[in-house]
Amino acid sequence: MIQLSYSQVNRDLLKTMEPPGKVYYVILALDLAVLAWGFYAWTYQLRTGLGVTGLNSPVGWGVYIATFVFWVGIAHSGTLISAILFLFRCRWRNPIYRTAEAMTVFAVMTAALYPIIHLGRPWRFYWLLPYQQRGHFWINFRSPLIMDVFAVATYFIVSAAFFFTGLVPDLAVVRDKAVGWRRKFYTFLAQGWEGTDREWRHYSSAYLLLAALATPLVISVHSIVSWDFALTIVPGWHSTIFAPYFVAGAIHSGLAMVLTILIPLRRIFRLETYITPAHLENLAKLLILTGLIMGYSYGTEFFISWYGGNIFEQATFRYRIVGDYALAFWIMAVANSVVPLLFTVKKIRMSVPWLFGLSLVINVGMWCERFVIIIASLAHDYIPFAWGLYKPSWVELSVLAGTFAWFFLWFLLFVKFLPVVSITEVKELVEPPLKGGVDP
Amino acid sequence: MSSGSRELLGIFTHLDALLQAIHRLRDAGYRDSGVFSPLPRHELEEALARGPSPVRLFTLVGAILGAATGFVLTIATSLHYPLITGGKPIVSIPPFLVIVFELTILFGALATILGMLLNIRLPRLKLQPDYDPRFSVDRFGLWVRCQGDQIDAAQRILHSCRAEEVSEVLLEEKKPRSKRADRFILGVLVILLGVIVVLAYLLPRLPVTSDMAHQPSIKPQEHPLPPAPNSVPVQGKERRMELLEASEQLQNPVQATPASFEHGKQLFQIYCVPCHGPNAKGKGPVAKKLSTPPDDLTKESAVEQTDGYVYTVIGQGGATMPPQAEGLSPRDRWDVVNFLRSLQREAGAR
Repeated sequence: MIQLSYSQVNRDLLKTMEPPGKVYYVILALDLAVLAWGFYAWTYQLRTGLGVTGLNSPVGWGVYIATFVFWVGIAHSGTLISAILFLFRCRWRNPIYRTAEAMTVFAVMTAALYPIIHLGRPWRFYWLLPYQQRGHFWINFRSPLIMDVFAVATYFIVSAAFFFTGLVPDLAVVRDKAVGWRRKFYTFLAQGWEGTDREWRHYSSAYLLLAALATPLVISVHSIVSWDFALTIVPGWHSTIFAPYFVAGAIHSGLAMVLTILIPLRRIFRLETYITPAHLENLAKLLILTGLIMGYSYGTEFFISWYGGNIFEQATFRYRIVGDYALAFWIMAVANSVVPLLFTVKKIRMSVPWLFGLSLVINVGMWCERFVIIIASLAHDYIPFAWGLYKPSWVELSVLAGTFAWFFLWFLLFVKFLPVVSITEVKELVEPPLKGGVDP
Repeated sequence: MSSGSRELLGIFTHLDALLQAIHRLRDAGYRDSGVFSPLPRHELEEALARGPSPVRLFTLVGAILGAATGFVLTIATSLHYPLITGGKPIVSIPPFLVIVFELTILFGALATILGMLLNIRLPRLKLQPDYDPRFSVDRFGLWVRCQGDQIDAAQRILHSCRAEEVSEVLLEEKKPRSKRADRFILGVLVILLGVIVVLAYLLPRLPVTSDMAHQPSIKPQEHPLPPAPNSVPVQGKERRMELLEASEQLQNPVQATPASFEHGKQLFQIYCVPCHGPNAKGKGPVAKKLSTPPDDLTKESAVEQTDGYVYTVIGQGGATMPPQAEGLSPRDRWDVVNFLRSLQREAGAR
């Protein structure tokens, strides 16, 4: 329980939305500059064709697809915190879930860019949608790539709806305090919310149901993303462990990203009363769990490649350890399965700088995992004659930087336009005002 | 005062005072009342005893509708254009279930939102006249509607429970929805739709070079590569040769070393001796059972054949002899040839 009054909660949490200082605008300008550069690189790719990327036979899926998988994974943890922990009645999630859920929505928005960027003719992306094409012919529902479209689109719509539903009572709070154009803006966004008992009754019911729908959804999404790989016969991809392995990795990377975002956020906005070391510690404990699952999955992959006796599978895994992408492999192995174990030491788990530093390391490790799985498997696929190496070109790296800027642009706007900590749900943790004693 | 319907609003600071007021109003027979609160509290839900929300029915119907849509979409479109892909049946249920699952969730979630909006009569842009901005901070509101002559009693109950303020709300102002707001929302939607239609019309017409022939060639195709380092050596497939061609062209690549001899001897005993016998004279234990006796491999016509001929017969089989290529790799077969030659020399010397 937080020892505060309701009005104090309002005051503290609305403070984050005060007009920003110079530093904010400098960061925003830098972010927009990187975004513009990434956009330029993408238009260059559009004008010249995909040849300007490092993609070629046999590595036809490069940094774009690896980063797509990375961002979809990042999104998962937000749903874990906002929906799954809600169903488990973990009340400690209340102050941090808004940021995590925003991260989900923005991460899916970023991830969804990649398959489009990766297309040689992105204006034909709608070919993936279910409609009757020329010659009475429909999309192939047996293809995991089509399942992917359904999964990611559903995930975006449902998590955006869930995010907005949770926001509405807080938007009413903002509306009641705002003046001028902001008042009109938030009056529109708050949709006429008044906090009547009728509203709360249906709202609470809907929120619970949305959480219950989002929970199986989140597990399905990264499973389906993993089937993009597992349903092929490329050595290193064709494995039944992929779905649980990807979901665990997704939550692992997402938890690290939540820490990476929350720690500066609570520092900048002085939210230490609301986002306490206990919250960060709980996230670190979850990271130990997911880190152990990652270590176990890596071990299982290697065990099965040895035990299965398939020489091609064995060669692929030997290539991962000692081959051209060994550096990325070792970063992945150490950062994802060994580094999280450091959180078993209470001193490290309770120290904010350590948490921040290690969360960055895990983020890098998870990106390397996506890179290793995709690129190292494709580089040594079937015929040694056709093997090849892949190196991202400047265009790909620029687009990569641009999409990171895109993600942070939404985040920068989010912290100034919406309450980053749920005012209503924090109030649920506060002791209600009681006069004590009952009148006759 | 007239005896028409009137509304009273009490503002409370304390939750327990509010609960007390709700109970007392209930007991006094006031049914038409409701609460404003900055957060949902279970105590309030229990005190008002409204029962479960019907939103869950919307969710159920939406989810079932989604599942049905998934099945119909996948099965009907596959039957509409029956194209076999991946050697799978036209109606392949397992992969379709993935689509069904996603649409179940999607429709379920959208129906939940719709159910919530319909049940609480949102969205709207104008607030009710009895709404007070303090309700979103820390105050609770309790409104009660009653006949004009009962309003004094209700006012007394609210005061007795230490309501901070009690005031009457002018009901004429309480309109369900403003028409202007409706028109505004409709206008925004129509403009959005218009923009989408115009973009959908214009975008495909943009002069973006889409033909590969017009794009500069950044990376021309590479020449065939030598075998890459770290590649796994795998036995390739042999080219099938005619016996005549093989006997003229094939050279024995394996030196008749003692190792080759030993290996060939071992294989000879496994694969050849049953028919051809230990001395290759065609008198193996199985030979008696055969209608066509096996060849004596030490006879002159056999000795005169080239290594390539013998090698090919071992691999492809003879008139009655079964082919052995499955059990003997090329190297194995050359070893057997080397051993057979030594047997023939032995027989010739005797």
